[in-house]
Parts: sequence; structure tokens; C-alpha cells
Amino acid sequence: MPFLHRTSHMLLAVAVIAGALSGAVLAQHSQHAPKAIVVDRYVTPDGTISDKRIITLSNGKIAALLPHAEIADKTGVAYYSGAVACPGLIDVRSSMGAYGNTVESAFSVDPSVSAIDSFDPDHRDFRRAVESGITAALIAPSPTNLVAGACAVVKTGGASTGRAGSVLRDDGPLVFGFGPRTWRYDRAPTSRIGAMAMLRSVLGEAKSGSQHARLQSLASGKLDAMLYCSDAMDVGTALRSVGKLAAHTSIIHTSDVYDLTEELAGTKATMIVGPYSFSMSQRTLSMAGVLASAGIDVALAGQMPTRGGHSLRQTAALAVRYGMDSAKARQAITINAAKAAGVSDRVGAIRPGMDADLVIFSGDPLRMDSRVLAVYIDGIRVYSADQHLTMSAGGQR
Amino acid sequence: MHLLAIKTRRFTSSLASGLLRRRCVSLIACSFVALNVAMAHGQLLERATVITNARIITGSGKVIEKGSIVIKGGRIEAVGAAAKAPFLSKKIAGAGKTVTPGLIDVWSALGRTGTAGDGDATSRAQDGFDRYARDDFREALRNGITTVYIGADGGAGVNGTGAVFQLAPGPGRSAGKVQKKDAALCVNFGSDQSPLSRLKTFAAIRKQFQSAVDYRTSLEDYEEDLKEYLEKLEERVKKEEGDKKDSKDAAKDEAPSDDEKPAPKPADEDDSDDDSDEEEKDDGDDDHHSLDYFFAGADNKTLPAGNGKGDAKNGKNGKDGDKKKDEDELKKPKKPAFSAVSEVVLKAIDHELPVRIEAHRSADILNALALADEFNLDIVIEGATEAYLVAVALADAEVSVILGQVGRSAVFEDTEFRRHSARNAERLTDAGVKWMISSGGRDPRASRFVGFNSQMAMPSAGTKSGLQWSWLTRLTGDASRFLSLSQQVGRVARGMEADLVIWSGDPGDPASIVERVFVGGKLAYIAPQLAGGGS
Repeated sequence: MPFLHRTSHMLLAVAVIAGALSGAVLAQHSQHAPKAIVVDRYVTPDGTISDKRIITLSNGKIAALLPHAEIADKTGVAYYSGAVACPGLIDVRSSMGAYGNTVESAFSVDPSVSAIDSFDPDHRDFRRAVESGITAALIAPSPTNLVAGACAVVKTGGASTGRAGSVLRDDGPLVFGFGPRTWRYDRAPTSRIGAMAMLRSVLGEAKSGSQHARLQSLASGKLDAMLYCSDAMDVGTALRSVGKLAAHTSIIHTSDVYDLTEELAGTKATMIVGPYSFSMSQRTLSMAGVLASAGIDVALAGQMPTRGGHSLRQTAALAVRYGMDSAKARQAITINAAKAAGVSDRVGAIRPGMDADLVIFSGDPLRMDSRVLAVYIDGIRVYSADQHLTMSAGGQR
Repeated sequence: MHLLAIKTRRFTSSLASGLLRRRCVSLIACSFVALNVAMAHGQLLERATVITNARIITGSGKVIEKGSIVIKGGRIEAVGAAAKAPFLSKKIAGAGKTVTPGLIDVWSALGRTGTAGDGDATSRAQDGFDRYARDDFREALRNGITTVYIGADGGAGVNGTGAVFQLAPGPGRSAGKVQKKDAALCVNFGSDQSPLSRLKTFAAIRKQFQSAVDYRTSLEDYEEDLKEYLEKLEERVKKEEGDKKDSKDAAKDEAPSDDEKPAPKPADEDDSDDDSDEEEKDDGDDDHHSLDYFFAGADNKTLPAGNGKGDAKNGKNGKDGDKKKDEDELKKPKKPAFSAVSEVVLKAIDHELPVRIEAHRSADILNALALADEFNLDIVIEGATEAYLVAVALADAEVSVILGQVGRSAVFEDTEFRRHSARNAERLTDAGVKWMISSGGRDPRASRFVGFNSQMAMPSAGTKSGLQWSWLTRLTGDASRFLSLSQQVGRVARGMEADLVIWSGDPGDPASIVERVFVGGKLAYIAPQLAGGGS
């Protein structure tokens, strides 16, 4: 049973003085912003579960990880006995708070599209996400265009804004769509071959400086790419064209790329696999494990809200049951997802200096009988199972 | 053969018959002894299998931290810390492993082929079960599932009877067998319909139960009428015999006056009052008229002046005089046409079959409760998506529910799942409603993951002390009791069928793998990692 000590007035004062931007919020909700969280175990950046116990927080960031004995002043400390602290989960394939068609169909090369424009920070999806332990999501424009636009990365609760969702990054990876939905009858490209020819010329223009700024920065290795490939055969092409230019590449829609495992192992691309459902074949469910075993970075996706908040952890559990290493599966829903979204400097790991986005689980996050006990975003408790209490992760239900 | 020998020999040599008979008897006795010895020998040859020093989760909530399980003759012969491996037994090292009963999915679609026709109560799930679906079964076994209940699936209506199947290897290449047929009567309220069609569906289902009741009443009436008719027939025969005797002495013209005497005439005299009733009955019988005619016709052959066709009409309209009337009175009662559908439905009304009603919306669940109340049925609600909204009514009626998939997004749903709540089980628990957890009866592949589903459904975290194994108990001991199979499966206990799963670690950890599965004492699954190394 977790219980929370009230922050002392002294600490409050310290918080106010120390806090720059988020200080006011901390003061406003002081009892929900502990100076330290004490848990039995925590998920380390390498995905294992270690028994370091105290996570100290400062200014919405993780300040230090201390052994249990080192806490003398117990005021302002949140205790969760028997619990496991995990970095806030990240769903890299989501349309949370972004409804409707997020792409224009008139042009097949449309790098100016920004997913952030369809983002509704007060949407109730964020509340559901928080309850499920998801603290960040990547929202992508629909990949029905060859160049579909820029992703947004959002937090599902925000200390700085006080609203449900807050923006972590509005210039996320540039999305490229490869697949039958990209080649159409009413505009170019109309075929796979045509699409590749068009892509080569677009990237050529970008290199020579005569394309949209986003494409140019991608071509010069300053922007990430996210490649949607509905067929395994497109993965190789996508990697050879866009993948070799972008700062970091992630490939999504890859439930069946067995034949490409060797080829992918040589690249630094992140493979985004999932969501996994109970209906899927053994072959599909084994893919994440096969890729991870080959040394490829895998991020797992939950596709909330099309699927429920359970979907991300369920995907991880199924991947593990079908051969994925547990530590790699935990990384796949935290740090690897952060890498794919281009936000791994801020979230995805419990490490000093990272944002204090934490989920307190009753047990291993991979176990389906583990429950979310509490969720912290930027060091502020936005959900507690005991009190069904929320703060800035509000939104109407 | 022996008998034949006896007969022939007795025939040829009647003198030595007694001796021979004795010899033959001894021969038969000898062959029996030989057979018994062979059987006993076979049992001796069958080595017991022993899983040693494993953690055993019994399925009834208990955990034996270190114990052994002796499997022999397809059953669990001994279990516990004190259980000893018999001489010459096959041993499986269980140290560090966890043994559980095979998991039971109480509402599955595994191995189901096709669906029953809409509203055909005579369909049987076992007829549509593919016991050769080995790949699918292997996937289920790989996740620890050994028993599934499969309903007679169809559209809205009374869809037939469900059955329980065990994923048992053999005979031949089959991998599943019927463990219990006619396990329940399956009714679907067709919740994924417009309000009007759901209304019609409910009316149609109600009618089926009402027809079954009416069918029974007409059968009982028939029995009563038949008895009366036979009595009267006997009376008349006696009288006719008496008349014959009398006729020797008395004059012939007294006979007509005798005929007038038989008094009770139910049909004819009430005619004027109950015309409408009569007509309704006739309408109902019209469907089966050809059969009636068949029976009536056959019976009439034995009657002196019967007229099968149009009896009812004659009875009503034709007042052709005393003689005709007399014939009507002695008409054999019509046996109601056999109704296979009603026969099945009656089993439910007689509490021989529980009734499983798939209903998701709160209104449908309330309708189900009303149906159960009206016909005094033992019902269980399948699906029960909105059960949490009517939890009090369910608790009052002491009706339990079977929940399907817990993980589901209701955001884009406009179906029966639109008010899906992952907290359904929690709220039902609070209200005191008994619930079971299943894979949801629709997706054959989801049956594999009923364990995960149960973990998700649990109202409290699995780490809470004392509740750690409740997700597993629901799928084993609770589930077998629910299916009335608690003496066969669902527990690791002496005398139970040996349906056992050996897990590499904690069954609740997705990283644990199923190493071996025994079904009915036979090895039904072995993990590929172990298959090469022998055991």
C-alpha cells in the first residue's frame, strides 16, 4: 500500500526557489510532488530490474538514484513498498488526442504537414493513457503519402501547462509511406516503381537545397525518419534511400520481416513492431523476439486509442511469451521507443538528468497482473490508483 | 463359440453332455484368467511418471512448495511432499519448475468449425469440433490450456448445446476429444443488432421456451387422454362382450340405448363455449398435421369405424346423429408431433442443462434475468460487457457471468462493446456477483491467452498477498467446478485426470515457458527446447 508523506513547508520553499518554470506548479500541487520516491525495485536503462530503491527528484527531473539507507529526512518522500518503478511507457504508434485524417491526399510529397496541428491537449485519451502507465506518445501523420510530414511527440500529462497533454517535440521524425496506400490511381505515384523514382528525385532536390527545409535537414543527416513499410520488400528499398541519409531511422509495420533480419542487423535502424493481439499467428508474435535476438533495436507499439491502454504492455508480454528477452522487451516500451521518437535525451530511462516521468507498478511491468499504482510526469503525481486522483492529466471523461 | 460347441456336442452326444458342459465352463474360466493376467501385466508394464520436487499450485488455492506428483493410468496417483516415486518409474526433474493443472477456457472457440444455424436448438457443438486441428491445439498447449468449452455458436436465438473438449492426444492423429457433451444450452441475444431486431430476437427466444412448455403440456394432456381412452376402450370391449352374451338372451334393439350411456364428452359439449380456444389449438397443430395424420391413420386401423382425416372438423361440426357421436368419443387421442427443438429446450427447463445466454448490453442482461425468472432456468450470462451497470440485479438473482476479453478499446466501438470497461470484474466483485473469465468464445486463437486475460481481469494486483494465484485458480479449480467437472480435471489431487502443465518458472511471468503438458496422463506437448534432449 503506497502512501504519501506531505511535503514539508521547508521543502516547498526550496522547491519554489529552485524551480524555474515548473516552480509555480510545484507550489500549487506540492503534496503531489515528492522530493523522492522509494520503491523496492526499478527498471534500469538496460531493461533489467534492479533493487536500487530511492529515486530523488528535483525540478521535474530525476536527480539521483540512492541506496535505501541514505534517506534521513522522511518528509516529502513517497513510499511504494513492493513496487517497481519504471520509466513512463511510450507508445510510438498512436493517434492519441489527434482525430480525423491527419494527411492531405492532394500531394504525395507533403513535408510541411505537422501532426501537432491535429493535437488536442485536452482530450480524454490522455487520461486513459496515464491510467495505463503511458506517459508519452508519438503521433504520426497518416502514412498514405510518400512524404507524409513531421511527427509530434507529446506527453500525456503536463506540469508546465497544467493540461492533459503537453508537447515534447513538434518536429519529430519525418514520415515516409511505402505501400499500396501510397501509390494510387488519382495522383502520382501510381506504382511501387514510380514511388521509388519520385523519392529519388525528391531526395536529390533536397540534397541540392531546392526542397522543403525538413527534407533538406533530413538529407543532411539532421532529422530522423520514420518509414512505414507494409511489405517486407519495401524495407530494404526504404533503408537504402532514406535510411542512409537520416540521423536516425525507424521502420514501422514490420510484423513479418524474417528474410531481412540479417540485412537489418547491420543498420542502426529501430524496428517498430506491434501492436500484438491475441488473434495473431505464432509467426507474427515471434517477430519481435527474432529481431531482438539478432541484435536489432526493437520498439514495441500499442496503437492507443485504436486499441486500449492495455495494448502496449500486452504487446510486450506476448513478445516475451514468444521468445523476446524480458529486458529487451522492457527497453522496447521505454528507451527504444524514446529513441524511435527522437526524445531519448529527455524520457525513456530512469537516470539522473532525465525527466521524472515514472510509473509505479505493483510488479514487473511485463506481467499482466501488475497494476499501475501511480504515475508521475515531470515529477508530479498525475495518477494514483488508491485515490483515482489526477491532476494535470485531466480532461473530461 | 463356446455355446455353439456346447450345443453341437450336446446334440451329437447327449450322454456326455454334463461332462462337456463342465469342460467348456472351465475353458471359459481359463480364458478369463488369461485375459486378466494379460491386463494386469499391461498395467505392470505401464511405467508410472513422476514429476519430482516441483512447486505445485494445486488449482484449489493451495501451493505445495516442494512436492512430487505420481502419474499412472492416466490419473494422478499421489501428490505432495511425501509422494514417493514407485519402483521403475519415469522421472521428470521438477526442481525449480512450477506444476499447475491444465488451464480451462470456459468459453472458447478453439477448434470450432463453422456456426450453427440461427436459432436451431438441435445443433450440437461436438458435431462442429475439429479434433484434428493439431496446430491450433499445440499453440493452446504451449500456453498451458488443456480443456475448452465450446458453445453452439450461431446468430441470435437458441443455438443448440455446447460441449467441453479436452486437448488429449490420440487416437490416431486426433488431438482433441469430447470430455462432456451437452454441457449447456446456448442462447444468443444478438446484442449487436438494432433495438428493434433485439426486441424481435428476445420475443422469438421467449416463444421457443414457451412452445417447449406448451409442448410438454400437450404431451401430458395426451397421456391423460390416452389413459382415459384406453380405459373406455376396455370398458366398451367388456360391454360388447357382455352384449354378445346378452344378445343371446335379450332383443337386439336394446343396443342403441346402451350406446347412448357413455357419458363424458369433452370435445363436443364444450364446443359452443370454447370455440376460440379450440381454433387456436387447431392452428397450433396444423404444422404437424401430416404426422398426426400418420399416427391417427395407423391407430384407426384398430378402431372399428375410425376416420383419421378431418376428425377434428367432424368432431366440431358434424352432428350427424348418435352413431357418429359415439365413434368420436372412442377416437384415439392424437399424439402431439415430436418436437426435437422442444425436447432440447425442455432439458433446460428441467435443469438438466444450464442455459448460457450471450448478452452484452444491460437491457439484454435484464431480459435474460426475466427469461430465467419466467421459466425457472439456471442461467449464466456470457460476455456481460455491461454487467457492471446491472450488477445489483445480477447479485439479487444470483446469476453468474462469464467475461470475455478484458483488453479492448471502446473508443471507436458502436457495437455491444461500446461500454466495455476493464474494471467490469472489479465492480462485479464489489457487488457480490460471481464471475468467470474466458477468452470470449469468438476468436479461436484468443483461447491461448486466457491466462493473460485472467491476469488482466483480476480486480487486485497479483502481488497482493494471498491473491497471487487467484488468476490461476479461476482457470483451474473454479473453472472445473463451473463446468461440473471438478472430479475429473482442474486440480492437482489424487484421483484426478492427469492434466498437468510444467512451467519453467512462475506461470504468471510471460518469460516462463511451458515445458511439458500432460493430458490424461499422456505427454501432449513438449517444448522444442527440450524435445531433442529426451527426458
